[in-house]
Amino acid sequence: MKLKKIIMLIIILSLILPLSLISCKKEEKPEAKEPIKIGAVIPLSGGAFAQAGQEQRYGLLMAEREINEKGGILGRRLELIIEDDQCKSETGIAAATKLITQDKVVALIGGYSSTITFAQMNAIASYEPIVVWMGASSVKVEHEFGPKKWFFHLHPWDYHRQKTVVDFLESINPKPKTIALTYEDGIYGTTSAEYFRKYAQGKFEIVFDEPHKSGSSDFTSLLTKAKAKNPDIFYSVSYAGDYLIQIKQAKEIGFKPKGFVIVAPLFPGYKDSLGKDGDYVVGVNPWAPTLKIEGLSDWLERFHKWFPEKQEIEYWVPLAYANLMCVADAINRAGSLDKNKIIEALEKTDLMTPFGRLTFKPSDEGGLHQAFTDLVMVQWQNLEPVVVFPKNLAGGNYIYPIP
Amino acid sequence: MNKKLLLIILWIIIFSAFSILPIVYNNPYIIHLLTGIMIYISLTLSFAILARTGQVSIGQAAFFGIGSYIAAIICKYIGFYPFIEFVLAGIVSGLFALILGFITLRLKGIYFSIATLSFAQTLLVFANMERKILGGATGVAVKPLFNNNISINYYFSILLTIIILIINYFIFKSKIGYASIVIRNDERVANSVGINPVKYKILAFIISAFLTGIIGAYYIHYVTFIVPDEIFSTNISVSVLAMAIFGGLFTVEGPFFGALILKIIEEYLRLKIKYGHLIIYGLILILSVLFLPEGIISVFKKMKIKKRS
Amino acid sequence: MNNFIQTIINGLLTSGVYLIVTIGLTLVLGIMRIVNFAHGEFVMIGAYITYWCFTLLKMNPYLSLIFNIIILFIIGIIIYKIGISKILDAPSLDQVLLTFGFSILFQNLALIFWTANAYGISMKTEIIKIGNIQVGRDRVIVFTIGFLITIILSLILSKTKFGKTLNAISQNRNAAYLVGINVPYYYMLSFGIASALAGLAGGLVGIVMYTSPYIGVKLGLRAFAILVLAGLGNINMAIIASIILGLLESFISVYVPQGPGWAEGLSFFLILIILTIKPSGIKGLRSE
Repeated sequence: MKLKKIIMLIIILSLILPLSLISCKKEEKPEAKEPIKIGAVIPLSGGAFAQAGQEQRYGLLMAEREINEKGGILGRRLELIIEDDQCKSETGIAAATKLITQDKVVALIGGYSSTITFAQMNAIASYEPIVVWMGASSVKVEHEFGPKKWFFHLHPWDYHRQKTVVDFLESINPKPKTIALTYEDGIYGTTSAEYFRKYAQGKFEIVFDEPHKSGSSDFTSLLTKAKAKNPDIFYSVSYAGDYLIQIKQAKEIGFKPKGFVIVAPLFPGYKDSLGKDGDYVVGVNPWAPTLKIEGLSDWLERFHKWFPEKQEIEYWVPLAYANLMCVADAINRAGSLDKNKIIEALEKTDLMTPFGRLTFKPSDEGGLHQAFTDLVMVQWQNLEPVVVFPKNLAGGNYIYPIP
Repeated sequence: MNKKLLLIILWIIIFSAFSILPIVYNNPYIIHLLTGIMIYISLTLSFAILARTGQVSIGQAAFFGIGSYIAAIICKYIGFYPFIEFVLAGIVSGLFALILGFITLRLKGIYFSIATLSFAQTLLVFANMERKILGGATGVAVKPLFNNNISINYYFSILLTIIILIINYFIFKSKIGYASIVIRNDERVANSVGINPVKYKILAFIISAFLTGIIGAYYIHYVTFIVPDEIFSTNISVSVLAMAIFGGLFTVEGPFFGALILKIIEEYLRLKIKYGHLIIYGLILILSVLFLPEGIISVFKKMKIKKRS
Repeated sequence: MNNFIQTIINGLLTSGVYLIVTIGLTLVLGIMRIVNFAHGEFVMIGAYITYWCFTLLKMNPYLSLIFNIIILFIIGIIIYKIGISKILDAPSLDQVLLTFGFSILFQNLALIFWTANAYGISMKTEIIKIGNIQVGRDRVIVFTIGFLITIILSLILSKTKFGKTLNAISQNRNAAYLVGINVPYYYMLSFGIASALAGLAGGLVGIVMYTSPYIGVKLGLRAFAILVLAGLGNINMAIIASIILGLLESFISVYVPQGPGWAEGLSFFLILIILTIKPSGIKGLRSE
């Protein structure tokens, strides 16, 4: 009987809860110095993206703390509200809408998945909120929302990544002739492959072009097929776990192309999971901790003081940091919370961040405010990541062919 | 008769409350949340029609996805005709159910479950690979219904839910409903009283899939963009399953409240906990099976019985 | 020609991974007719155990398999006691739901405690050369272990008293009660053993693949596919079915355009085909 009573209680509570969600907000008394709210929607659970979302969270939290340490924004405390989109479109839409309409945030930041971004922006476009987005690399998003005056975008688009890879391949001496391309068959891999083909056309011969399924336990068949074509370069667009297997199994079947290229080679656990087997793999990455960026090593030190438990960091951490920082910076320069003034200030941004120099310029396929467009190539040499391209940011030479 | 009247009044109150909410609060976040809840309530109600025959489908997402893609294909090649899309989405889903049911509903329950799961996964792979018509892994986009007016969108979802609820009642009281109860308990008995289990299971399956397909067609117009990995996801199938079980399969009201309560709890958890709140579905399934096999609704029923005596 | 042989060998080695994952499921679902949708998650837990033993205790992953067996056996017994035993007589609906619940629970627990990152075991990749062909030593070991364990299990079930008791229970539970067999005890034991086998498989999977909260999902589904293909309870056929699946996936990946993408759906597609054309064989298992 007690059990039944408890259950009744749960039912009643859960029907009342939504009311509490709403009514709480309405009764806030306006304080003299209310905090300035900025909202972020990132993936923290519910799927593979959650890994990146957890990285983003670190960067956001560090920025929030440092901003508040220095007195906040416009003399008021910064309140960062982080929402989890659970890797689902509906949840992403609900979270973004809540931040804008209920929490009334000054700006919306964050983002990861292009699909969810698309759905979210569609849903909130009518409010014309200030969106400074660090996620989404699919050009679909750029076409649809890039031209909006309120939409600011940090992450390089898919084609920027592929452009960097092709430029890099062209810079190799002796120049490789044949490429084996494989990509995960989801939206990320398929779009990347499309762009790669576009930029590589006329410059290289793609002798192998096959999709694969992310999460497979076995890639030996795929690699065997690629090996048969004897390519100079093996380029795989995939996810962290898959790379662990692909790199291992390539060694197993004796597939040794002159160059092994991946995307985002600095994922957590790369070194620990692969050890020496991971050497000589080169990958395109928006960022590396060893890049010659002003203030970066200092930032790294501070980060490790804030979060000693987080040893390895991927590029999402400095990107998220830059994301929140540039919004705070713009509001400070605007001197007010007026939307148009903030947009103006954002457009004039010129900020040094641990991710690189942040300015907003139009991008190739319709976007008005694009921050980062250049990526780098990082090669693992002797268990250490070394930036090898472009030459002016490089910390070492690209080792080619793989010994 | 008294009980019937009471029920009708209850539903009128509930749906009136749902309809008034956006006017009282005029909060897009709440409206989006409620729309999502309505969608899941509809899915759960549709799922329950088949589940009442004792067959566990773990592939409800298959028909959800089929409905969405049919709508997308019509939009892309013929034009923006929501009504036609909805009808065709339902019919095609129903057809798939007919074929799949014909093959698998003659077999032991567990094979049906595995088959539904396999079916959804097969569709996922197919949708990922088929680039020209279905857009492949990069997904497909459609224009929104009602020009993105979220209030009208919400009311439409309420309407959809009401219709599905009414259909549920009809079926529950009809021969299919009666047959379901018998079949669920013992198929040999069903045979001996002249009920062909396979025929009724397939019928229930078709209706369930038909409704789910329609919801799918509505869904894609709501989010405007889908990819196979999301629309055919086992998460959807499992959520619907958990909601139906939690609410109580053996009544019409059960799935409704199961979905409503679980969705609210899920949203509440999402706001309070950092990650891993999907764990609630796991716990709900385990606890429901062990302690509340007839679902939450049985709590009310037992109370009513106690009152009478 | 080299390519062809390499494809065959790849397929065989993959089938080893599938086989080792399936063997526990064959015992619990095939023979004891207990639906366990959390089997894949037991494998996942096994993978994590091996990973942590390797990373924290610097233990040889193959040695740590002993821990896998013990820990997963205990977990299996616990899950059985608190959950499965209560619903042995309930419709399979309940078993599906309960074990599904556990599967989601474990996935999310792993996510909360260990994050969504994928972790590999960084042993140097050892190679075995057979003429012109090269293969990974660890995958060969996995295949061998899978094969051996299957044979051993098959022998235990057919030759030993324990095995015969299990067979008796699976054929007619009521009769088993009547002849004085302690049925609940045997159910519990076999569930524990099946879980231990899953743990063992998990360790091996962690060695040749990687570990993350979600690896159980895909592997678990493959195991179900193999069971359906082989026919529930048929251990020897499970070997053949694994090999067929492994080889088919390998060949499709290599010789069909866009193959690797299609190969993924193969197991599900096969399930549907088998259920369509071989209903008599399976209908025969429709014991009331």
